[in-house]
Amino acid sequence: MTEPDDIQLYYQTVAHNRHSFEQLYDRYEKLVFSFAYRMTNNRTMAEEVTQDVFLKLWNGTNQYAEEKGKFSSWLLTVTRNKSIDELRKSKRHAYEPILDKDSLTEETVSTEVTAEWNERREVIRIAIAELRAEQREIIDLFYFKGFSQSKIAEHCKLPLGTVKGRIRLALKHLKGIIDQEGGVSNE
Amino acid sequence: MNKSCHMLIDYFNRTLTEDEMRQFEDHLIECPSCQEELMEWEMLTENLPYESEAVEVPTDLKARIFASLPDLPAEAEFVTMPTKEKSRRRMGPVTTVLAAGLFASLVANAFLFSETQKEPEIAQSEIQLIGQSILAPQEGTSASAVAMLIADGDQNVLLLDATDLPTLSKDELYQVWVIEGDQPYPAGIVQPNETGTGTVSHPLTNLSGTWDTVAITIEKEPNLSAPEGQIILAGGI
Ligand SMILES: [Zn+2]
Repeated sequence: MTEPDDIQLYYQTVAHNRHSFEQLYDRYEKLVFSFAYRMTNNRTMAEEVTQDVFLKLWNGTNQYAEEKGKFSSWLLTVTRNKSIDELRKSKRHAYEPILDKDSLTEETVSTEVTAEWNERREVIRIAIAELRAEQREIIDLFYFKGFSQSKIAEHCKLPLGTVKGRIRLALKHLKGIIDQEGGVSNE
Repeated sequence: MNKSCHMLIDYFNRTLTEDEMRQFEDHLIECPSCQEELMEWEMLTENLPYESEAVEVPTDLKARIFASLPDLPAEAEFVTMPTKEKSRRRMGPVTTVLAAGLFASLVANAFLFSETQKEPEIAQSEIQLIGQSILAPQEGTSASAVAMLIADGDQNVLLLDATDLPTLSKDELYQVWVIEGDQPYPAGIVQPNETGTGTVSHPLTNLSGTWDTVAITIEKEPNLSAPEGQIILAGGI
């Protein structure tokens, strides 16, 4: 028997099927928690984020629609949004450079999601390492720190009007390298 | 380029005030270039979460989250229960799921999604749900089905999704009926797959009466003028 897909489990979760919700939870707990931790750098906040993301899923507060793209991408966007909100609430907004952790710890691969994730992580990290320091920094400030346009401008000593262009360029460059490395395209 | 367009990055990063957030969302609905750009930012960043290093999840987090799940509402509010069957059982999760899933897939294209909105906006679409019912299984079967009456433009359609249908012998079939008072009309045949699941959508062009019951029977021939075989599922709609 094939495993139910995410979308199927999502609809069943919204209809309050505990078993389906549990399958979805088990599939994404580690990814959501780890990403929330990556965003907040704080275990308590990562727990709060994870709890909030899954509770809202169960309660149907966060609505997913298929034209939004992959369920996993949507779930991670929700996780990021909540992480940013938590960060902002706590005002823990100290700047830390990206990639200061150089250890790529090997984990036991237990689920399909983790296996895919390990693969993707390696490609992404190699790609990020190829970027210039300014590009790495702007991606970190924008994506993982969730800074506002003006804060990024201030930090990187850029005119406000050029911030967006710089971020886009950095992201496009990164995406280009990732696609070249292969193996992590979305479908 | 509207003066709101420059807010896109700060919208993406949620650094706007609530008012600005709403203001931008209003703008977003009307601005194709912002819609396109937002999709571009999402596409450009979709790999980034996977950069995260796997960290150990607290062992009791799952238990805590599951313990805090609110109890189910007594009845799923969007489902009309058949009222005539005295022996009907409580609606199981499977049937609720079917209803939610089936309807969701129908209206999926009509969703105007917004991340921060509390409620999804359902755009006025051609498809409207008029009535919905869980069919109650008759004695000795675990089968279940959801029947929905849909208005698709000016045509009414009966949609039926059944699960757990018992396997039939070769010369038998599952006939769907709509019943108006005492008058039954055949309304499609369910052809279940090997797991006992089957879906039927049947236009009701010539049947737009005031029928109030949907039933599934086992018959030897399709489209009889009245059911002859055993009733498997029935419910009011
Ligand atoms: Zn715009």
